[in-house]
Amino acid sequence: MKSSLWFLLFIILQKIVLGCSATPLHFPEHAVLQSKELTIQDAPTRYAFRVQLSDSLLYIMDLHATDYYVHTVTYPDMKHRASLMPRGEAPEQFLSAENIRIDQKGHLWSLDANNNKLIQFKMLNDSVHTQSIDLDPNLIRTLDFCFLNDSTFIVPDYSGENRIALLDKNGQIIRKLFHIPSENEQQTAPMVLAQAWRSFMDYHPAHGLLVMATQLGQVLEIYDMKKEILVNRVQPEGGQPQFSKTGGHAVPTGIMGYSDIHIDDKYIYALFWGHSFEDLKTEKILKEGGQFIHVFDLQGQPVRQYQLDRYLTGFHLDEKNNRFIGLDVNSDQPLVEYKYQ
Amino acid sequence: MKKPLYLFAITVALIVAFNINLHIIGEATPLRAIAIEQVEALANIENGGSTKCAMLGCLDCPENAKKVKYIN
Repeated sequence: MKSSLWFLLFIILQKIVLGCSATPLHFPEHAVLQSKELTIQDAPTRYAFRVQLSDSLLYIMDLHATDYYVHTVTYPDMKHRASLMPRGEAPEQFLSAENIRIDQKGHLWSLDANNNKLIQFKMLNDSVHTQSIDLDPNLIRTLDFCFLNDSTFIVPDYSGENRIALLDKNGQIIRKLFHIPSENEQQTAPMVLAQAWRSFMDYHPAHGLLVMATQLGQVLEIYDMKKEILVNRVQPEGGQPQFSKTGGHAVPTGIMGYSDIHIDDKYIYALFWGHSFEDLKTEKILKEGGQFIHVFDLQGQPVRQYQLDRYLTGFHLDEKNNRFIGLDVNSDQPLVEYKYQ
Repeated sequence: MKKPLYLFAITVALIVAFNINLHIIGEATPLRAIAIEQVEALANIENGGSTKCAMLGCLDCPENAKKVKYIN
């Protein structure tokens, strides 16, 4: 009887000390990866956030650009080739860049959330042809996109009414799907919920899976877009985004979770930070980025955790060569490369 | 009476030690100087609204559409 009471006391105290922090996911395999720095000349970035490799060209997107949001660099010799997406308010300039993607024809795309536009870039010899698509005015602040096929885009639904929206090639909403999987959906305004559940996404056309990872908390969602069903939602106990409502906005109170996600034909790879906002505000954590890449199978079962020697904000998955190309904004040379097994 | 108190103290000490250890593992080294300059340049972006967005980061500030490190 006494030992039971002591055990109960231990559990209560443990809960009090740990508060609402998440219980970590269990990954059966662990590996530590060492980076190789890639030196770039003449492609200054302030906060490199996305990187894509296509053929022998690296595209690097700067979230806080001073002049250009995207720089292209030849790979592997790392020579600066061009800068795209000039920052500014003129008609041919851009107010923001959220992500970059390469379509099946090899063309670069980006999303300017502050202009509500998707932009395609066609490289023609030494010139760049730009074509913009105005997004449906019913969309509220689109913060990511991916290609469902050559005429349909997938974007997160920031209105909070649904989880995602499908857009036609003119940027108009075709329809919306799924719902934010919050446990307190009824008590929170949809817009606030959508802010708290802001997620990064990726889609693989071969098996038709869409994956989404929350920036706050630690939730991975897997949707089958062919059957239009939720395959799995993976989160540790207490992993939902934690936030408070202030002035009609979601104010993060828990942890920075994922900041990039990729899916190939076998696995899902998600870059995880795990920094509490308390530690960020009090400067116990000064690094920007995550030190972990979580690997899941296509059903969402944890497979492996890679621990990195750098803190990354985004990465390119080169599955053919078992390689990550990552971005470390804490370094003067943000591009790094990892080989994995 | 003393024995239960002794056991209670040991239990609390174990829990605290365990959690402090977890936090030490998560600590990081300072940013490079140039990054700090950039961070300071953008620090304390106050919008006159009910929320405050601060420093350079990748969170979407709901009031001014800038990318920030944290929101108060």
